Amino acid sequence: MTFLWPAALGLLALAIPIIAFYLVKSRIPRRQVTTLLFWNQVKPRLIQQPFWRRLRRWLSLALQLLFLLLLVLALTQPQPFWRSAQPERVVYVISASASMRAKDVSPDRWQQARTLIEQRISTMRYFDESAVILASDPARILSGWTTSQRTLMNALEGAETSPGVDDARPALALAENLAASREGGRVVFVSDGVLPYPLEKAPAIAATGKETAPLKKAPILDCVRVGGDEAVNSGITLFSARRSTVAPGEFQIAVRVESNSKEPTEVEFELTRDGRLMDVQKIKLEPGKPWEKSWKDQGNAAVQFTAKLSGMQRDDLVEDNIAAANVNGLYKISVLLVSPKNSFLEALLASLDLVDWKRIEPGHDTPAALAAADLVIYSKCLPLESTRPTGGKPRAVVLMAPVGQGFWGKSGDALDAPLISEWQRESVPLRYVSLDQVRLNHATSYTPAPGAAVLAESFAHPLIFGDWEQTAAPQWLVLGFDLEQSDFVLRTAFPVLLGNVIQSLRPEQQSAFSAVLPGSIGTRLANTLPPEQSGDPAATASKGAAYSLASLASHPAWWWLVLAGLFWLLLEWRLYSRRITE
Amino acid sequence: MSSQTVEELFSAEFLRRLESIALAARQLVKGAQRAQRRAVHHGASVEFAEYRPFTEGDDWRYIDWNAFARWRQLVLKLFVEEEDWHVHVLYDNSTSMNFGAPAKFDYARQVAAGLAYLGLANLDRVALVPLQSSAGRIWKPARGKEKFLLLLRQLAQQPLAPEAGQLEDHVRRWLSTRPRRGLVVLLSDLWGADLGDAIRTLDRLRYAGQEVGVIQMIDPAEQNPGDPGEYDLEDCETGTAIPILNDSQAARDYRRQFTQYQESISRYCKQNQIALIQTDTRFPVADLLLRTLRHGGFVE
Repeated sequence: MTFLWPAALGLLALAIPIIAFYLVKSRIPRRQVTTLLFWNQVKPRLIQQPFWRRLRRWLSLALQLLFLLLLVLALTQPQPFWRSAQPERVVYVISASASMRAKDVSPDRWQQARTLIEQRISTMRYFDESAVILASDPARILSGWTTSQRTLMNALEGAETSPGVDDARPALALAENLAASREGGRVVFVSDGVLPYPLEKAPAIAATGKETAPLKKAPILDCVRVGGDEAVNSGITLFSARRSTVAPGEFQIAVRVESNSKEPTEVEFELTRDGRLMDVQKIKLEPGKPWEKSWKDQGNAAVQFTAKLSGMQRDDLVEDNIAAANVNGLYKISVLLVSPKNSFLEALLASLDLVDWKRIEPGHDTPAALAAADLVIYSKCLPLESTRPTGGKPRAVVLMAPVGQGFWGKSGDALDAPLISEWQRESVPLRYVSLDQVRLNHATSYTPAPGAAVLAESFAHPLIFGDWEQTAAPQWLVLGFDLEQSDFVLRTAFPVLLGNVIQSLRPEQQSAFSAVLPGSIGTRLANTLPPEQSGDPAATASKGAAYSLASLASHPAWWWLVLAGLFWLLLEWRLYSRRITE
Repeated sequence: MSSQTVEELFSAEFLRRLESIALAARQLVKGAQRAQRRAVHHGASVEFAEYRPFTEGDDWRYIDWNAFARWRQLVLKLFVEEEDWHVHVLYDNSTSMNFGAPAKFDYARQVAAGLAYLGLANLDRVALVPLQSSAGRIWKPARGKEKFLLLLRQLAQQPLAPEAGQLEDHVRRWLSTRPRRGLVVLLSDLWGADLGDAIRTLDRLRYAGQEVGVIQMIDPAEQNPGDPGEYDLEDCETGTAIPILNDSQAARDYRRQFTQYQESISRYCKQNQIALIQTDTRFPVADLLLRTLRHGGFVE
């Protein structure tokens, strides 16, 4: 048998004063009486006392010594005989999912999981090692291998749950790697079993990393489940707010509320926009039937919508009773048209929403003017600077029928009535653009700059080319024909192309950000661990708390010894007390 | 511990209350006339008793010639002759009386003083006798209130008897001194050497022709077996010790034995017309003299 605190055995020396005091105490006191007349009548019965009663004083001493022994044993914290004498090396992985905050057990699953681990840590012997990993996103090592119980406890103190559902697999993989670094290391995963992905058996790990080395046996993974199977939850399962694709100034807000209760549940739903109340609804949630509703609103500025549930009779998970969605404000594209007067282009730019444009004559495209624009369109002219613009402004350049040489390439011979033989329909500028009916009277032959992509060509003669990748600085595009020498401006392809060019310059907008926990109500608190890993559901339900596999005892051995010691103390008191002698 | 001074033993209040208590005997020593503390002896006295016809042999000097002139018959005029009434107060001075608070010995001496005062106040002859006379001094029969203070002083200085013995032996030893017949008041706890010792003692007093009254005084603690546990119980008189396991059964047996003993004493006294008072030391001495004695037949 091993002890967590063997030095406490020295307290057995207390037996010496106990025996000494007992011998002093056991001297029969002498009491004077005025007469023995009556005691002499009682005496014969006293002489005939049973043998054990005459020995009860020694029995009492034996009980006191036994109590001392139990107390000392309790202080030494003996470990069960079946516990190996070898050092135990355990990596504890604690799930940080939001579902761990469910209060279907007292105080909640998270605290129960922490208590389980703390109990196990408190029974560590001086040569045992442990580590703690938080299964958050990303996985976090709270404490590496250590024999210090205090370090492990402090590490657990700082752990918190995350607002969403975290994938435990990276944390388990990390734990298994950590466990594999120690002889006999194993992993204990403490969670409520709500996992977005099923647990997989860990593969064998190469012992030394060499291909020829034998595979090392994967560490043992013990799953310890906390929480019950009867959790009741009502929550928001969908909450989205986004701008209309047709009218960007308009919002669309949608919400869905569900309950996993088997009885109808009444809740109060509240929707606010930037803290101002928009709507309040009394909802009666029928079992298995979600409640859905949508709203419309307007505004160009960034907005935050908040949905909140309240008034539930019982709700074990409060984290999904509130959700927020952020919608970004609208962004205007600044376009600088460097061209002689061009009715088609000006009309087109004026028709586009959220475009702020202006035209300047060729030769006036000073660096200051260029720096203020997101997009510069050169028509029938070339930039003053033949080199590629730098500094991030403008972000994009479109050149229409440029003649000469520049960062974009160089022009060559004229092409007479070229046919557009091929174009890249998947490219961003030409998305939804059909060029098969476009007639060109004249075009120019070009040699694109290295790295440029040909988006449309006429039998190996590039007609539309450029570098419109997001990473290009700036993005640039060349239309190798004069708009006025074609019917391109008369076709829908023209506004679509220019619209694609301009829209692609808008910053990526997160049209809606939702804090809603993923998954349905039913899966948010449901155990997904396989039965052989999640314990006996019936037993856990009856206790109100799901305790684990046998590897974690609810109480350490010394606790039971103290209990037994107290029992013996009471018994000894009962026997020894001079007030109660029978 | 017992008190040794007059001031400690007899308070002024106690002495004041004695004035209001009168002592009387249950019967006259001789004759059928039941007068207060008065024996009838027909003889020379100033107080007329009765007339009796003259018979031969009578002293002619006692013929009432005035009566002869009136009735023409010789009659003798008889007078009442008063005789001293002896009150013997026997108080137990064994070591067992030195128990309790107040000590039973103190209580007994206070009662003895009270009885003596009342006797002296009524011109009786009062004797105070410690049962173990070898350990103390006997106050010989005497009368007159002027001697009361002296009596108190001697009573206060009475020591406890260091040796044990039987009650019967002590009484027999006293009776051998041929005390005058009268009222014997025994003040004791009646814890004899055995269960029959007290009865035999009273028998001896009765057979000696004494009018007997008993005041049995015990300490309240003696009625109970004491705290439970194991003890070596030591008799304070004999020094004999016996090991006792005082559990609840033993306590019940003790109480039963105690009650049976008290009842046997009471039954005996009732059968033999002995005035008996069983009291404990919590009861005030003055009240005991005034009220309890009245119930017991000591006082009319």
